[in-house]
Amino acid sequence: MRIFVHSLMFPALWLLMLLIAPAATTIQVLVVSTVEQDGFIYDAGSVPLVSDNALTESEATSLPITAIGNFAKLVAAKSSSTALSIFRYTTEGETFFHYGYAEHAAGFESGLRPGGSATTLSDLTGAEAKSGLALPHAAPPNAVYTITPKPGTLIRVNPVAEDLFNQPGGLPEIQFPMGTEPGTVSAPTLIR
Amino acid sequence: MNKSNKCPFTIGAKVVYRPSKKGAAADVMAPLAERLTPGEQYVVTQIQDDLYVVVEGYSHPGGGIYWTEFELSH
Repeated sequence: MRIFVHSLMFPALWLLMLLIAPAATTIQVLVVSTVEQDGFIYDAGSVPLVSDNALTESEATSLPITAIGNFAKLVAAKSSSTALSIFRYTTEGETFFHYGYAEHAAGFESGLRPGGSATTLSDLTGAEAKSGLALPHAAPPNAVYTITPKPGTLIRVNPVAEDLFNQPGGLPEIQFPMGTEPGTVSAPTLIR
Repeated sequence: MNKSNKCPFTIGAKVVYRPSKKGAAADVMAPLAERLTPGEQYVVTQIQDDLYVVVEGYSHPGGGIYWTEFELSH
């Protein structure tokens, strides 16, 4: 069971979580730092979007904890442009690509850690990845890791990476708020 | 692009690591030994390309971190 918790509801919701925890087999909590407006959950300045694979209103309201059901309508958007981002679950056969450093390969054996990110593009150079994904380090990534998450893995899709760190951004970026399971990330492939 | 100016810090300056969400997320796959601690104070040992800060004891294969991820310590 996944439960999405609005950050403004912390005190009441954590208490509620404690009360229902013994009855649930597995509970995953995702804190969504957003605001609610017009019945949707937004990042600041966003436009609502519901994709085919996002949680629908009926799914959201069918969550067992009705007190937070309204907050589980997973609609989010990018704050500084017209681009939208949305939480959804992966489907069978989806593949993503993490641009990073070969020296960190050992850390990928247990899967992508919560908060890890990737893109949908497989053939970037290190410089292209640094530029298009607006990465903060001086040296461009030297490796790409292929991520094949299990179906049902939560992702946040941002179609256009924001310009940051003196980089233009612009490429699609995928965040994994809960990470991925062990064995879902390949060994690194060196890139130029 | 935001804050494209040169890094305002000098070598030897004391800075506090204040990562943005994106900056913190970018390092999530690095081993702990190669991650800085948010809110912790560090001494600048190198500035790469006038933009990227390397602090004492930091050895990340990506080199320095963009300077806006730090604040000058007072």
